[in-house]
Amino acid sequence: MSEDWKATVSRRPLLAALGTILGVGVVGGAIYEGGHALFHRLPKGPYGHLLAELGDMPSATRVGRAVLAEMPDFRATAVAGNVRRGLAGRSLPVVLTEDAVEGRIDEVQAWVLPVTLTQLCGLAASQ
Amino acid sequence: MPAFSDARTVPSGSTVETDLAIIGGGPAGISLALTLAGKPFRILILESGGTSYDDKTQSLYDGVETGVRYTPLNATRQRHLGGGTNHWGGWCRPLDKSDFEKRSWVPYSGWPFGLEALQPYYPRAAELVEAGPFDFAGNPQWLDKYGAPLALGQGGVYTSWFQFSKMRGSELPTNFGERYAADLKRVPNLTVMLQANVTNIALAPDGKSVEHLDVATLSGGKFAVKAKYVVLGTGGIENARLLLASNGVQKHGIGNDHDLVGRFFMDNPIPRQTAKLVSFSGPIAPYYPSSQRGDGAVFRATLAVTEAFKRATHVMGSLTTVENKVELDDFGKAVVATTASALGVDASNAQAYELGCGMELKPDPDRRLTLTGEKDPLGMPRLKLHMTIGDEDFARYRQTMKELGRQLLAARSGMIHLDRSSRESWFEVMDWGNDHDGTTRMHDNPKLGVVDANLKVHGVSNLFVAGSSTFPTSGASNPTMNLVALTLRLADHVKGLFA
Repeated sequence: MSEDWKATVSRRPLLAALGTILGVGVVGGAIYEGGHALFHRLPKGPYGHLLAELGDMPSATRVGRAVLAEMPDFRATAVAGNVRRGLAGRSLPVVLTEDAVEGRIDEVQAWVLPVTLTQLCGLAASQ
Repeated sequence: MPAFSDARTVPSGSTVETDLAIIGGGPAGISLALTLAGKPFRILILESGGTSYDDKTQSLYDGVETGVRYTPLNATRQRHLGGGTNHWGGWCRPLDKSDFEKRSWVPYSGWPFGLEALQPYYPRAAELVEAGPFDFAGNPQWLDKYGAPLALGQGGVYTSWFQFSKMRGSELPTNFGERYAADLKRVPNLTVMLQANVTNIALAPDGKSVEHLDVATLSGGKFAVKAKYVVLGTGGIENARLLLASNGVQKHGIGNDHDLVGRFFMDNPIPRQTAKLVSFSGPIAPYYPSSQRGDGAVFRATLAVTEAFKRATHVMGSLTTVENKVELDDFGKAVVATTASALGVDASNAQAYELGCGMELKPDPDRRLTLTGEKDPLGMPRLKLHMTIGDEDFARYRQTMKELGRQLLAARSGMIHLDRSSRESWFEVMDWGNDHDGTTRMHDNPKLGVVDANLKVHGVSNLFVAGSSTFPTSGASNPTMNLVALTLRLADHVKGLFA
């Protein structure tokens, strides 16, 4: 190759093009991977966004089946609304601790639990 | 008379004279005699048994029980020198302030005085029962050595402390007969008369004072004891029996004009598996599940009820103990995993424990001792105990356990499973403390009590009752150290009588 190519292909546009390609790739990848991770982490079903902080879903669902058995008047839609309002953007540990401090507790198969946890488990078993 | 004598050597028909006769050589009688050692008056302890167990003497305790299942009357006591301390567990804890108060939710509650009246006597009482230095408040050095107490959110349950009687030179609790025999022998103004069964407290014809005591031996001897003052200290069951049976002048028995003697019997129920406590972080401090040693004391933590919670929720006193480690079932493991995860706590090393408890019963006039038509070999009427326990007693304790569960969650340290929910299930694990209280209850008003605040029988000028039979309410604490403290207070009063 002759030395002329330096004159016809300047360095600055070339670097800009490479940077653009790389940037698009990184951002696109991040969106893809993040979304993928997010959708995989959220439990499925209508209350998945509320159940996200429960962690151990199989155990929560098992507890929830006991909740539903002991609380035949459990109405998932109404309970979900209550839980959503109770959480109000706060973390689940904060809300559950507040339940206990303020005496909002339930018994499920004779286990003493914070009310919001009982409700979340019931929702987990409802969907 | 020698320091220790045998009633079988006293001639029948004779009269033995003394200044102070103490009926019963148990913890009350021995504490009283030791405290009055060297005073300028003669003391005579009349003990039914000898210095060791004997079947014939023990069978004088035979009786019948009706109502809920209860320990047989001849098995729950020991009729020889040392009395109840011949078989006690050594658990010591002072009564709580509210145990003395009139509680609106506890009928017949309220002592004639408050905790402050006994406080000066507790250190000496702890010394007599050999419970180590009087602490009972969680010595900081114990915590340094064994770790911090269980984290609990603010509320109705808190960590409190037992100290244990441990007889010098032994691993067993202090047996007053064995431990203090030599000390009793050294008391110059004291005689301990063994094999001496008081079968009747004979009042003067006007019923206002004790004239003499009728004493019998199993070998057939009968004689009288005349004393200026008499202290009855034969235990929470036998005190009532002797007063009821001594009906020669007062036809319903001594101190029983208002039908109170023998009523209000109390014991501390001890259900063994009341709940499961899960500690998220793993094993809790070792002084919860078993006793530990430190600074001259043997101690163990217990979960007690705050005064404020009692007042707010009307629960009774209770002392919950952490017992053995247990494995949870699969559902329990799921609950713990779910709860800990939701609370943001690691529970990978969580440990579960069974809980046990000593409960306080509400005073019940129908829980009572009465005389039967059957008589023992000495001619004394035998007893019938009618035992009761209410569903409410269980429900209130369950409420306390639920509060403990709430506090564990609030502290994010653990959680509770309530094991008992029906009367039948409580009885599956029910045991009794064999703490006998209330049958000669104390009250300033003769219509509501058998003895007054100085433990003198209402209307009888020279007869006193010592022991937990005088407790109007029992509290949840074990009675022995408390009855010794009350006896030391009585000793001060008796000193005044002879001054």
